[in-house]
This record gives sequence, C-alpha cells and structure tokens, in this order.
Amino acid sequence: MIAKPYKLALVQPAAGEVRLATRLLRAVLVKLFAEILFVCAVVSFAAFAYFNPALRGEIEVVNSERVEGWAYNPLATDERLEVQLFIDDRFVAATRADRQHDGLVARAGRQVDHCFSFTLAGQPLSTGRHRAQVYVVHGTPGSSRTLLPITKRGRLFEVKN
Amino acid sequence: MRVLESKRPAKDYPVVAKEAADAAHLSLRAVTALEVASVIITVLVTAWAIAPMQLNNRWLASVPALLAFGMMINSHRLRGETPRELGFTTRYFGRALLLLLAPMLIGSAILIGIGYLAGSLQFSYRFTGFRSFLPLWGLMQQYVLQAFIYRRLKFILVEGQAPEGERVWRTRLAIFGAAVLFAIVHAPNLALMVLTLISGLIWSWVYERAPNLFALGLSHGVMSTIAVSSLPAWLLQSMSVGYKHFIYQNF
Repeated sequence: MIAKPYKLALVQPAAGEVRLATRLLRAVLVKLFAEILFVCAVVSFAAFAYFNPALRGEIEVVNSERVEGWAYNPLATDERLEVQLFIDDRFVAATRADRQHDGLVARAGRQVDHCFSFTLAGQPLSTGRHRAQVYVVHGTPGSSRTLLPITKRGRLFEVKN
Repeated sequence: MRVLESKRPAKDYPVVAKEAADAAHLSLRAVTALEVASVIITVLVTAWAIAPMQLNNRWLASVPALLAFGMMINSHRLRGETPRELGFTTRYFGRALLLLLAPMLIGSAILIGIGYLAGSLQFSYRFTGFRSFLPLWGLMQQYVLQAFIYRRLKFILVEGQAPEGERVWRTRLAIFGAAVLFAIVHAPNLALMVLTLISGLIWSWVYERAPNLFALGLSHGVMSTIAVSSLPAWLLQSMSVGYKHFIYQNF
C-alpha cells in the first residue's frame, strides 16, 4: 500500500515576517545566552568539585629518613585528610594528616593538627636524588576519587651511602 | 506580494513590497535554521558537556532541555501553531497506526530475529519495566523531532508556491534531514545511530501523511522496548549516547 501524502499543512508566515523573525531570533539568542551561562557555571562548579583549589598543604621536611608536612581543607577544617606518599612516581605509603607537630612552623591560616609523617626506613631507595610528592585523596562527584598534589612539583632529596 | 494565510486580521500587518517580502521570508528561514541548530546544540551540550560533569544534582542536567522546550513552545506560539496542528490530537491516530503497522512488524521481526540468533532475547523484567516509561519518552522525542525539527526543516526547504514535483522532493529532503539529525544526536552509539536513522525516516514519513504524535510516541516506545529486549548488550551499549557511551554501564 502506497499512502499518498496528506499534504501536511504548512504554517506559512504572514506579512509581518520581519517582526516575527526578530522575535524568534530574540528568543533563540536569549536561550543561547542562558545556556552558555549555565554551562560555564556547571563547568566551574565541576572544576571546583574535582580539583578543590581550596586545599592547602606543604612538604616541610624531606630526607632519606622521613617525609613530614601538613595538609588541610579550609572549607572543612574538622576533616582529617587522607594523604599518600609517592617517591619517583611510585606509591610508598598512605596515612592521615591528623597529627600535631609543634616543630613545624605555623603559618597564618594553617592549623598544626593537620600534619602527616612518613617514615622511609626500610624503603629500597638507591643512592642519588629522588623526588617525593604527597597527594591528598579527594572524593569527587560520581563516587570517584582523585589524587591532588599538595605541592606543584614535589620535593627533591638525596640518599647517600 | 505573496498572499499568505493568517489567523490574525489583515489590518495588523503592514503592506510590504515584493522584494522586501522575499528578503523578510529569507530572513525568517535563516532564523528558523537557527532554531533547529539551537535545539540540536542543546542535545549535544547535554550529552557531551553536562554528562561528563557527573553532577550530584542530576536535575541540573535538564536545565538546557527546559530552555530548549521554552524556546520551542514560544516559537509555536509566535507562529500561531496549535497543539492540534502539531499532532497532539486524536485525529489521524488510526491512520498513523495503520501506516506504522507494516514497518513495525518488519522491524520487530528483524530485531527479534537478531536477538534469537545472538541468544539475547530477554522479554522479562526489562520488557515489563520499560513498556510504561518508554512511550512517554518516545512522545517527547517525537514532539521534538516531528513537531519542531521536521516542521522547521520543511519550512526552510519547501516553498509554498513551488511546483508539485519540486515540493515532493524537497519534502523528502526534509524527511531525510530530520532523520539524519536524529541519528547524529545519538552519536557515538553506532548501532543506535543506524536504528534511529531508519526509524527517523519512517516516523517522519508517517508524520507527513498523518500528523499524530501519540501514535508516533507509542510506536517509538514499543520499538525501543523491543530493541532493548532483543539486541545483545554489546551491540546496544546500554542505549547510551554522548560521553556516557564511553563509561561502562551494567545495563
């Protein structure tokens, strides 16, 4: 059976098309602008949620025996962050930044009971220079977890015989 | 000067010269093209930009769609298009179903045949769970595809006073264009793109002859349910589109 076209009625624009086109265009532009704003807001929110630029931390002591420092979230000061130590991009150990360390210099805006300490005794480190980096384990949207470095490039230290 | 039908009194419209009328009509077609592009962009933005953000408040992902629906409804209002005219009516319901019967039977046979050969037929809990939801989802998709995208494409491509032969092939071009756009928004799921291209051609063809969105929505829901319950999971990939297609989902 071949059905003949039923001639779907077209809404032919009446005279006054200029005004109609203008109003339609205005609606498209308003919608587009609102959409752009929304996407920018979502992307910014997601970037903040994923990378949390508010996190603060520092590696204060690094040598062949130990790595110490502090890390905390100014937006959730009661939270004790989980930190992981990587040496030369290899995972070494994990702990929580929940220690008090009076030996660390207290800077403005930093709390001294968010310190961490890793012991490197027993770690198979070759003679020479190594890079230590500490990451904060950060929960992200979608029940994922990411590692956020607390310093830009980590800290170098040397192992001697 | 082109004589046009209108629901508004003639005194409301200024008299314009033929050249100005042609230019205005060209401008209206350009704006109409922008409307279509805007809706397609909304779908792509939602699937490719919003989805990767994995928002905790999932309702936020529907904001672009709500903006698009607002624009579409406003467009209908400004053009004087009534819901009945768009297809929200009982008129042509039977005729549309009659036109859809053969393609649906053939399509169902093919899908079930593939499922039988692949050993992936599951007309159990999925069939029961989806059959109530998918017709409504199908109605919404058919509204966007037919009542807006296809109608606007036809307005752009088909001249009201063109010869009959030219109007026919331009109408076919509009049907093809609507189906292609429908397939594109289902990227990168290749199986789904093929299915939506073929079904888009059929649904737009039926809409041209019997503009009834309820019949098309029902058809959309039924065929989607059969596809989900028949095709193997590795082929359909959870019917996911956009960024979500690359995420493992136990469907």
